[in-house]
Amino acid sequence: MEKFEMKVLFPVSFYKILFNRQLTLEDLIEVNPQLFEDLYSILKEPIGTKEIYFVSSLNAPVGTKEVLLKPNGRELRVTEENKHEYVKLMLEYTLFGKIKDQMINLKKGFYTLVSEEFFLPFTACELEAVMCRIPCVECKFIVVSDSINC
Amino acid sequence: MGTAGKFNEWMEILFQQAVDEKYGLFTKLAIPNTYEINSESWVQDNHLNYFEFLGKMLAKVFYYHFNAITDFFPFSRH
Repeated sequence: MEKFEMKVLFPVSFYKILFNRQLTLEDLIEVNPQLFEDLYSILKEPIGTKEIYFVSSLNAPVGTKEVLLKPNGRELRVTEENKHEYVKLMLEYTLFGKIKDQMINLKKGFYTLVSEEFFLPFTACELEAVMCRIPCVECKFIVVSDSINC
Repeated sequence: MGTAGKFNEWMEILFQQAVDEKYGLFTKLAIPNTYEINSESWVQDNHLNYFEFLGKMLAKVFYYHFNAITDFFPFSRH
């Protein structure tokens, strides 16, 4: 097997979206460490007097556009009760919502050549390792297939 | 260098060009050599067509690497 590693890498969240896997808060560390810290502290600490609403922002062709994470998000304040929902919506929006059109088209291209069912048994980490040829100890799949080759 | 080397080299060049910030399709992350899709990629005309093309190229990379590892590839559509 030739030694080859992709010199262009994508974050784990990219592969999770490509292969339709569940996103986790930790995926945010690579993409936006600051937001990860913020969301993590919202989960760990009481909200207190912090004024947070169900909104995010996006750079649009003209200025910055406000994005509502929920209908009426502008008026909806984050409380102890709904903070888990806020973190989930914010995570989904940052990792997927922002680049939805781009990702949908990328997936459209990807799945015209390969079929989705094939990927079901594998974890996102294993699939990433195949894509980038990263020698990854955690990937039992690689070990198994190597032993088949022997 | 065999055909595998040529294929990998070509893909390497293609993806290095695709993530180049002058095209605005991807942005660099703090981690070395790691890129994410630029949410403002509309700066490039036809950006969605480019992403569809890159999706196909990723599938080819996947196909090729998977073949190299296992010699067994049951999921091709063609």
